[in-house]
Amino acid sequence: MNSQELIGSGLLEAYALGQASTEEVRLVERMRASDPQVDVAITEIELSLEALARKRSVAPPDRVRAALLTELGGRDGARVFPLTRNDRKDQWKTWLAAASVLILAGSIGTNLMLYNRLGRVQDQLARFESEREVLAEQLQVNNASLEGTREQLQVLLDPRRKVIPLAGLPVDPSGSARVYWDPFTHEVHVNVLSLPAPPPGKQYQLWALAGGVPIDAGVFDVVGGLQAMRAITSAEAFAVTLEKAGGVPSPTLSAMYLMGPVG
Amino acid sequence: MPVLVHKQFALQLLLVTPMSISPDSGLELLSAVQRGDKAAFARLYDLYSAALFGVITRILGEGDQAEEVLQDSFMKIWRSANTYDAVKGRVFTWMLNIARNTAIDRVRSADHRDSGLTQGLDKAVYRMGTDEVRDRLDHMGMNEVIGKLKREHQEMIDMAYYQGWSQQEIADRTGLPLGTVKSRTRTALQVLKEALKDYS
Repeated sequence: MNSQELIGSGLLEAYALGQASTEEVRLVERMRASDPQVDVAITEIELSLEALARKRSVAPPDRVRAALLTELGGRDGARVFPLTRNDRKDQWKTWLAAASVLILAGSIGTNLMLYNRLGRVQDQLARFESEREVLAEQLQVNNASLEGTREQLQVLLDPRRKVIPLAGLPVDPSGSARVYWDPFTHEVHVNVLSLPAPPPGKQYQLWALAGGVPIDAGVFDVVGGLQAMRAITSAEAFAVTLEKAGGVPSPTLSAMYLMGPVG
Repeated sequence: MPVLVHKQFALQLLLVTPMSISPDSGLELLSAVQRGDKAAFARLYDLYSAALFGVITRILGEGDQAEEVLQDSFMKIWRSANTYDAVKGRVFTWMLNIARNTAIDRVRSADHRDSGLTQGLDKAVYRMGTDEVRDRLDHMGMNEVIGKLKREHQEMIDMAYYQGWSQQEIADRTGLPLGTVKSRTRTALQVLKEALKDYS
């Protein structure tokens, strides 16, 4: 049993009330002598019982005092005992108790301070961690964007690719776009320069003309940058029509916006 | 800010703690008594006799018996002063225990039973809760303190401290489980401590 267990066990109360068995008394006294905490706990209980006894004081009749002093007077008063060691022992114990209380208080204070600091550091760490996550996401987005830009740059700088400017037709003469076509890999990209935004439910569709036959190259949106289209094996010209969203199998010639021959 | 709070906390701890290890004022007197100083003994009597007599009358009731026991107790204190060991407890507590044990021995002796003052321990306990005792407590201004204790706690202290029953005896006599007696005794003393703190 350690001191804390002893203090919580109720044995100290039993001891102070004179209820403890001989072995229990021995145990309590041993631990009291070795641990100031136990001593303080017992003293607290004793002080309560002393206070209770004081509150319940009943003044005895004077004759008891008189009888006692008479009895002592009849005896030899020369009862000499050496100055007790207990006195010093007790003082030493009191100082030790006071010192350990001081140390305990200091230790508690330091612990609380360190605990508090630990809390702050943990908060900071959590904040850094979430900031790091945000940055990592941003980095991923940036990387993807960079990758896209690099691909587009490759298309633009590739000397094999044919650049086909598409010019506006009478429907909207101000329209313009560029098609980048690789005759070897058959990759097709479109870059919208100027086109009116399509009405709801409509999309622009790119066509390749090969041997006078229009071949579907896919639909695209009016956005900046290069948009990858379907592969085209051969083409003499490219054209753009406005069709219902998702595209149609054959172009609506009356809604042809752009056209340009492969140079 | 939090650091300031902790400093205050630590300071409070320092301010509070010395009370629980308050110096034992009886120690000096008892040291003198150990050397055979009768004046110191008279002083010891003046300081503690009323408290001891309170304990004794609570056990025996007021009367010649109680006065005899008080006298016996102080003679024991005089004679065994040199066996007192400060490591084993405070002087007042030591003296209280002598008075208490002497009174309990008297109750348990045939002498007392034959005197007809009480009919044994059960009657003595029964007396604790009577109006007569309550009235007396009133006069002593104690009802306020004791009133704060639940009856069960009060009885636990009375049975243990004033009747000298072991926890097993209390369990047997009250029919409570031993564990309940233990925990209730502990609580009783804690409540008592708080009640006395408020009172003083």
